[in-house]
Amino acid sequence: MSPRILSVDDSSLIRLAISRLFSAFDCEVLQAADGEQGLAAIRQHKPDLVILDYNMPVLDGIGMLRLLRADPEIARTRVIMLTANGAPETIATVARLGVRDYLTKPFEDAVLLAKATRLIPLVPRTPPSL
Amino acid sequence: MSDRITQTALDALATTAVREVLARQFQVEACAATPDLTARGADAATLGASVPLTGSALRGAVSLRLSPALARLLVERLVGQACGSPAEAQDLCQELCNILAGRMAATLGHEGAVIELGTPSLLGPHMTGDTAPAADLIHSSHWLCEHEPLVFALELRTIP
Repeated sequence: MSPRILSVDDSSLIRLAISRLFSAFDCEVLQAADGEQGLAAIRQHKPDLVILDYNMPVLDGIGMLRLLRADPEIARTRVIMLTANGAPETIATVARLGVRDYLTKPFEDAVLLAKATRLIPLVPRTPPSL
Repeated sequence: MSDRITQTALDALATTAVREVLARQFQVEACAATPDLTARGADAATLGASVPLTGSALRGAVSLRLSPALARLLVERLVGQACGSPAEAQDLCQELCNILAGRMAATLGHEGAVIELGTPSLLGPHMTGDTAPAADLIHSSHWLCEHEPLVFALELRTIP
């Protein structure tokens, strides 16, 4: 079964950029616009990897992580933070919450792909035969 | 904090942030310009966004203005397809401001200031960001990116 990735970011453009980036691979990319939607999507779809923003309305990335880790059914979900917030205190906090990797914006596609590949198997899509 | 960072240093940090963010995220070269160059024509920098900065020792804001044409270009560079709506251009403006604010907060953090980013908000065509009264440090720079205008500003006030 192909891996499932969830992008949680209040910017629709960042979510679109992530979807485009992973569209070259055999995987499914889901989207959520804030932490609350993100938690609901994780409970419903059980993604293999979550790419999570920090500053978001409704429920921010830290709040979502705390609720995620407190729920035994989804607590082991793998998370990469992708955020403009590169403050050392924030990085330390999310590391304590089990975040597997941290990437600050601006980000390079190749770096995000490399970090994702360390956590989930990503196989390039086979081009349709003629 | 402002005792430790000078105006010259802040200008250098801000200039580097604008150049690097646009180059790394959007593959766009930002060239320093004069205010008259960036204020030309009807398609000037009418899109705006602001991000408040708060910390135990300071308060301030980062603000950004750019032309709708530049926003469309940056959307295309980010997602690989043409910008479809004004909402996407506004999203781009807020996200770029957020990235620049994050970059400045992290850089200033290395100087010993702990800074939290607020939520980005859009600015009207003639509005400025949430300015810090009697700001200790003010940076404002004008840029041309692919011949389109961008204005970046940062204000910081030390809290006694």
